[in-house]
Amino acid sequence: MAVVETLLLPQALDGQTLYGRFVEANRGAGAIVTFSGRVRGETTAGAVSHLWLDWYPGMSEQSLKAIAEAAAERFDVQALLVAHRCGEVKAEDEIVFVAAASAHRRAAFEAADYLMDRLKSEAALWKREVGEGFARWVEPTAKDADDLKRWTS
Amino acid sequence: MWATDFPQPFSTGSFMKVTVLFFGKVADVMGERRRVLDLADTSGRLFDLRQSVLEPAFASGGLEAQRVLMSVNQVLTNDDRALQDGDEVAFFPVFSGG
Repeated sequence: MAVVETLLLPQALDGQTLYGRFVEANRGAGAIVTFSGRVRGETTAGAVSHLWLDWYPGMSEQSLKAIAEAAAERFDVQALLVAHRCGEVKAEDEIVFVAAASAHRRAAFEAADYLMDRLKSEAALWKREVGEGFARWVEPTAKDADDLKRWTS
Repeated sequence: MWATDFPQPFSTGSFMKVTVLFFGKVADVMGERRRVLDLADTSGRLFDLRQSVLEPAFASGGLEAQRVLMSVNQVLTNDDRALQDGDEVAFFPVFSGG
Protein backbone atom coordinates (compact mmCIF):
# COMPACT_ATOMS: atom_id res chain seq x y z
CA MET A 1 0.00 0.00 0.00
CA ALA A 2 1.21 3.45 -0.88
CA VAL A 3 2.26 5.98 1.73
CA VAL A 4 -0.42 8.69 1.80
CA GLU A 5 -0.03 12.06 3.47
CA THR A 6 -2.63 14.83 3.50
CA LEU A 7 -2.29 18.30 4.99
CA LEU A 8 -4.84 21.07 5.46
CA LEU A 9 -2.89 24.23 6.16
CA PRO A 10 -4.29 27.50 7.54
CA GLN A 11 -0.83 29.03 7.06
CA ALA A 12 1.41 29.41 4.03
CA LEU A 13 1.93 26.36 1.86
CA ASP A 14 5.46 25.93 0.53
CA GLY A 15 5.42 23.47 -2.35
CA GLN A 16 9.18 23.63 -2.83
CA THR A 17 9.85 22.48 0.73
CA LEU A 18 7.19 19.78 0.43
CA TYR A 19 8.74 18.65 -2.85
CA GLY A 20 12.18 18.36 -1.26
CA ARG A 21 10.80 16.33 1.58
CA PHE A 22 8.79 14.11 -0.80
CA VAL A 23 11.84 13.37 -2.98
CA GLU A 24 13.89 12.56 0.11
CA ALA A 25 11.22 10.12 1.33
CA ASN A 26 10.93 8.45 -2.10
CA ARG A 27 14.52 7.93 -3.17
CA GLY A 28 13.69 4.66 -4.93
CA ALA A 29 10.92 6.04 -7.14
CA GLY A 30 11.44 6.14 -10.90
CA ALA A 31 8.95 8.97 -11.38
CA ILE A 32 7.73 11.90 -9.33
CA VAL A 33 4.98 14.15 -10.66
CA THR A 34 3.92 17.31 -8.84
CA PHE A 35 1.23 19.90 -9.37
CA SER A 36 1.16 23.34 -7.82
CA GLY A 37 -2.13 25.30 -7.97
CA ARG A 38 -2.00 29.05 -7.50
CA VAL A 39 -4.54 31.81 -6.91
CA ARG A 40 -5.05 33.70 -10.16
CA GLY A 41 -4.86 37.47 -9.79
CA GLU A 42 -7.56 38.03 -12.41
CA THR A 43 -10.99 36.48 -12.88
CA THR A 44 -14.07 37.43 -14.88
CA ALA A 45 -15.18 39.62 -11.96
CA GLY A 46 -11.92 41.63 -11.92
CA ALA A 47 -8.64 41.73 -10.02
CA VAL A 48 -8.60 39.30 -7.08
CA SER A 49 -6.76 40.30 -3.90
CA HIS A 50 -7.29 37.03 -2.07
CA LEU A 51 -9.45 33.96 -1.62
CA TRP A 52 -11.18 32.92 1.54
CA LEU A 53 -11.35 29.13 1.81
CA ASP A 54 -13.89 28.24 4.45
CA TRP A 55 -13.40 24.83 6.04
CA TYR A 56 -15.06 22.42 8.45
CA PRO A 57 -12.41 21.24 10.95
CA GLY A 58 -12.40 17.45 10.93
CA MET A 59 -14.60 16.93 7.89
CA SER A 60 -12.37 18.92 5.53
CA GLU A 61 -9.25 16.96 6.56
CA GLN A 62 -11.20 13.72 6.21
CA SER A 63 -12.27 14.62 2.65
CA LEU A 64 -8.64 15.16 1.59
CA LYS A 65 -7.69 11.84 3.14
CA ALA A 66 -10.54 9.96 1.41
CA ILE A 67 -9.60 11.39 -2.00
CA ALA A 68 -5.90 10.57 -1.55
CA GLU A 69 -6.65 7.04 -0.34
CA ALA A 70 -8.90 6.44 -3.35
CA ALA A 71 -6.06 7.55 -5.64
CA ALA A 72 -3.62 5.22 -3.85
CA GLU A 73 -6.07 2.39 -4.34
CA ARG A 74 -6.60 3.15 -8.02
CA PHE A 75 -3.06 3.80 -9.30
CA ASP A 76 0.18 1.91 -8.94
CA VAL A 77 1.92 4.57 -6.84
CA GLN A 78 4.40 4.34 -3.97
CA ALA A 79 3.49 7.58 -2.28
CA LEU A 80 1.04 10.48 -2.53
CA LEU A 81 1.05 13.87 -0.90
CA VAL A 82 -1.86 16.30 -0.90
CA ALA A 83 -1.43 19.71 0.74
CA HIS A 84 -4.31 22.18 0.59
CA ARG A 85 -4.64 25.66 2.04
CA CYS A 86 -7.60 26.90 4.02
CA GLY A 87 -8.37 30.36 5.35
CA GLU A 88 -7.10 33.46 3.58
CA VAL A 89 -4.91 32.83 0.51
CA LYS A 90 -3.48 35.83 -1.30
CA ALA A 91 -3.40 36.19 -5.09
CA GLU A 92 -0.42 34.37 -6.62
CA ASP A 93 0.07 32.26 -3.49
CA GLU A 94 -0.03 28.49 -3.65
CA ILE A 95 -3.43 27.05 -2.80
CA VAL A 96 -2.79 23.35 -3.44
CA PHE A 97 0.20 21.08 -3.97
CA VAL A 98 0.05 17.42 -4.90
CA ALA A 99 2.87 14.95 -5.48
CA ALA A 100 2.82 11.36 -6.70
CA ALA A 101 5.72 8.90 -6.74
CA SER A 102 5.73 5.67 -8.72
CA ALA A 103 8.07 3.21 -10.41
CA HIS A 104 7.10 4.44 -13.90
CA ARG A 105 5.74 7.77 -15.09
CA ARG A 106 2.18 6.94 -16.19
CA ALA A 107 0.82 6.07 -12.76
CA ALA A 108 2.29 9.24 -11.22
CA PHE A 109 0.88 11.50 -13.97
CA GLU A 110 -2.55 9.91 -13.73
CA ALA A 111 -2.66 9.95 -9.94
CA ALA A 112 -1.83 13.67 -9.83
CA ASP A 113 -4.44 14.40 -12.51
CA TYR A 114 -7.08 12.36 -10.67
CA LEU A 115 -6.28 13.99 -7.33
CA MET A 116 -6.77 17.48 -8.76
CA ASP A 117 -10.02 16.64 -10.57
CA ARG A 118 -11.50 15.25 -7.37
CA LEU A 119 -10.16 18.01 -5.11
CA LYS A 120 -11.83 20.68 -7.26
CA SER A 121 -15.31 19.28 -6.62
CA GLU A 122 -15.03 17.01 -3.60
CA ALA A 123 -12.63 18.59 -1.09
CA ALA A 124 -14.86 19.86 1.73
CA LEU A 125 -13.89 23.50 1.26
CA TRP A 126 -15.78 26.61 0.17
CA LYS A 127 -14.06 29.22 -1.91
CA ARG A 128 -14.81 32.95 -1.89
CA GLU A 129 -13.07 35.36 -4.25
CA VAL A 130 -12.42 38.80 -2.87
CA GLY A 131 -11.26 41.73 -5.00
CA GLU A 132 -11.60 45.42 -5.32
CA GLY A 133 -15.32 46.14 -5.04
CA PHE A 134 -16.50 42.55 -5.18
CA ALA A 135 -16.66 39.31 -3.24
CA ARG A 136 -18.36 36.13 -4.44
CA TRP A 137 -18.66 32.49 -3.48
CA VAL A 138 -17.29 30.25 -6.21
CA GLU A 139 -18.87 26.91 -7.09
CA PRO A 140 -17.41 24.19 -9.31
CA THR A 141 -17.95 24.89 -13.01
CA ALA A 142 -19.45 22.63 -15.70
CA LYS A 143 -15.84 22.05 -16.78
CA ASP A 144 -14.96 20.83 -13.27
CA ALA A 145 -17.93 18.43 -13.43
CA ASP A 146 -16.74 17.13 -16.82
CA ASP A 147 -13.21 16.72 -15.47
CA LEU A 148 -14.56 14.62 -12.62
CA LYS A 149 -16.55 12.42 -15.04
CA ARG A 150 -13.33 11.41 -16.81
CA TRP A 151 -12.66 9.07 -13.90
CA THR A 152 -16.10 7.51 -13.62
CA SER A 153 -16.84 6.67 -17.25
CA MET B 1 -11.37 16.72 34.39
CA TRP B 2 -14.02 18.44 36.46
CA ALA B 3 -13.44 19.10 40.16
CA THR B 4 -15.87 17.04 42.24
CA ASP B 5 -17.58 20.10 43.68
CA PHE B 6 -18.08 21.64 40.24
CA PRO B 7 -21.40 20.95 38.50
CA GLN B 8 -20.92 18.96 35.33
CA PRO B 9 -22.46 20.29 32.14
CA PHE B 10 -25.97 19.04 31.33
CA SER B 11 -25.82 16.71 34.32
CA THR B 12 -29.58 16.96 34.87
CA GLY B 13 -30.19 15.37 31.49
CA SER B 14 -33.09 17.71 30.83
CA PHE B 15 -31.36 19.54 27.98
CA MET B 16 -30.90 17.43 24.85
CA LYS B 17 -28.73 19.49 22.61
CA VAL B 18 -27.87 19.46 18.94
CA THR B 19 -25.18 21.72 17.54
CA VAL B 20 -25.89 23.30 14.17
CA LEU B 21 -22.97 24.60 12.08
CA PHE B 22 -22.97 26.73 8.92
CA PHE B 23 -20.23 26.98 6.29
CA GLY B 24 -19.44 28.91 3.12
CA LYS B 25 -22.26 30.92 1.60
CA VAL B 26 -24.74 29.38 4.04
CA ALA B 27 -22.84 30.92 6.99
CA ASP B 28 -22.66 34.18 5.09
CA VAL B 29 -26.39 34.35 4.41
CA MET B 30 -27.35 33.12 7.89
CA GLY B 31 -24.99 35.61 9.51
CA GLU B 32 -23.80 33.00 11.99
CA ARG B 33 -21.56 29.93 12.11
CA ARG B 34 -22.89 27.98 15.06
CA ARG B 35 -26.10 27.54 16.99
CA VAL B 36 -26.96 25.16 19.81
CA LEU B 37 -30.59 24.01 19.92
CA ASP B 38 -32.58 22.12 22.48
CA LEU B 39 -33.94 19.04 20.70
CA ALA B 40 -37.12 19.37 22.75
CA ASP B 41 -37.87 22.59 20.85
CA THR B 42 -37.87 20.68 17.54
CA SER B 43 -39.56 17.60 16.11
CA GLY B 44 -36.20 15.92 16.51
CA ARG B 45 -36.03 15.12 12.78
CA LEU B 46 -33.27 16.33 10.49
CA PHE B 47 -35.49 17.57 7.64
CA ASP B 48 -37.68 19.57 10.03
CA LEU B 49 -34.56 21.07 11.60
CA ARG B 50 -33.25 22.09 8.18
CA GLN B 51 -36.56 23.70 7.29
CA SER B 52 -36.98 25.60 10.56
CA VAL B 53 -33.37 26.80 10.84
CA LEU B 54 -32.90 27.82 7.20
CA GLU B 55 -36.45 29.08 6.55
CA PRO B 56 -35.58 32.79 6.84
CA ALA B 57 -32.83 32.39 4.23
CA PHE B 58 -35.10 30.40 1.90
CA ALA B 59 -37.88 32.99 2.29
CA SER B 60 -35.55 35.91 1.52
CA GLY B 61 -34.14 34.12 -1.53
CA GLY B 62 -30.66 34.18 0.01
CA LEU B 63 -30.44 30.38 -0.22
CA GLU B 64 -32.12 27.78 -2.42
CA ALA B 65 -33.20 24.67 -0.56
CA GLN B 66 -31.96 22.27 -3.23
CA ARG B 67 -28.49 23.84 -3.14
CA VAL B 68 -27.88 23.31 0.55
CA LEU B 69 -26.08 20.11 1.52
CA MET B 70 -26.01 18.68 5.00
CA SER B 71 -24.03 16.39 7.25
CA VAL B 72 -24.65 14.73 10.58
CA ASN B 73 -21.58 14.16 12.73
CA GLN B 74 -19.42 15.13 9.76
CA VAL B 75 -20.88 12.56 7.36
CA LEU B 76 -22.79 13.84 4.30
CA THR B 77 -26.39 12.74 4.21
CA ASN B 78 -29.51 13.18 2.08
CA ASP B 79 -31.76 11.16 4.34
CA ASP B 80 -34.11 12.27 7.04
CA ARG B 81 -33.47 10.80 10.47
CA ALA B 82 -34.18 11.17 14.16
CA LEU B 83 -31.49 13.28 15.78
CA GLN B 84 -29.76 12.23 18.97
CA ASP B 85 -28.51 14.22 21.94
CA GLY B 86 -25.08 15.60 21.08
CA ASP B 87 -25.42 15.31 17.31
CA GLU B 88 -23.58 17.86 15.18
CA VAL B 89 -25.53 18.96 12.11
CA ALA B 90 -23.99 21.15 9.41
CA PHE B 91 -25.44 23.02 6.43
CA PHE B 92 -23.28 24.18 3.50
CA PRO B 93 -23.19 24.62 -0.29
CA VAL B 94 -21.48 22.27 -2.75
CA PHE B 95 -17.74 22.01 -2.21
CA SER B 96 -15.18 24.02 -4.17
CA GLY B 97 -11.52 23.29 -3.58
CA GLY B 98 -8.40 23.26 -5.66
